[in-house]
Amino acid sequence: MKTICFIVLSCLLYLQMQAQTYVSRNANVSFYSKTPLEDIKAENKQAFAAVDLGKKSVAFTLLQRNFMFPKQLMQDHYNENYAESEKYPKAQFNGTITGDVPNKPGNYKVQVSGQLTLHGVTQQVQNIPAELEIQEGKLTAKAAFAVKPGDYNIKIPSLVKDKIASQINVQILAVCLPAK
Amino acid sequence: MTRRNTIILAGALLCLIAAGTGYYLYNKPRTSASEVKTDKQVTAEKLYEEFTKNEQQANSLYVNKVLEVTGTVADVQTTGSAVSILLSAQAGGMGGVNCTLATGADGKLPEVGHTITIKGLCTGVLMDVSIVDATIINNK
Repeated sequence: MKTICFIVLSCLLYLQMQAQTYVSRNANVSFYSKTPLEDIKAENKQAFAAVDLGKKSVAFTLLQRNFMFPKQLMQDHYNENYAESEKYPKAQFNGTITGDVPNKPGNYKVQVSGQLTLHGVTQQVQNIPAELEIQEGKLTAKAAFAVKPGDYNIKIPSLVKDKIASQINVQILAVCLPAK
Repeated sequence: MTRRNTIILAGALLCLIAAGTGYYLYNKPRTSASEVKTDKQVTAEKLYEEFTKNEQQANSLYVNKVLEVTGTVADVQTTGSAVSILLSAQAGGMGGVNCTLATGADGKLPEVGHTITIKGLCTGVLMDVSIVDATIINNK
């Protein structure tokens, strides 16, 4: 009986180690705009992320309304005037990983390219530097890149143009577990 | 004081009040969902079912509303400083109601299998129905 249990557990452990797809429903996506007049920061703690090491693909999707700002007026303006969250509730990214990521513990520096859909506009995003860390059965993905609101047809009124950076820095942190 | 000076003083005072109000509104911190009156009470099962059945209709009913959601804890996950509690929506199903606790609201965390009620802002559906800025109001 003990032998059977050991074999079954070993098989399960092996299958777990061989898992190629990692997912997170609580990935953290934050953005930061810095100008001499104002710093704007918002954080979304509920992005859905999937990383498939076998296919070398990565996908993110999030709800715009999940971005939390420290100030109420910023939050209202973001949802109503810039992201237009009612009309375009979701943003998503689908991409591929360049670089070797064996499915075993380690820290791997890779590049990610793909399509980012934001505010109803899809743009190609190239060579985002990213870091994938596999430890204790978890995959932690970190990446940072810049987005120009103008590329996604997000119009900034001239009255507040000096308060919003022309390039918004986006940071991603996703702690993913093997897909069940 | 002449009539002219009174008018100037009143005008300056009005400008000062308007500027002060504008400054206050501009810097007003985001209103926490816990401070706002609950719009609706619903179970996790019913909320998830309504979103999967008709997302558009559920959006108009629940999105941007402060809800009190009661359900069974399926998972508790910590990512950095963020704590998220997944309320089960269907037996053996993948989806649920994903509730991210507000900063500082993560005192005593529930265990998997407990029935709890969470108050927070509903923002829509991805893989799960999304509740943010949440606080646990009943941890049985």
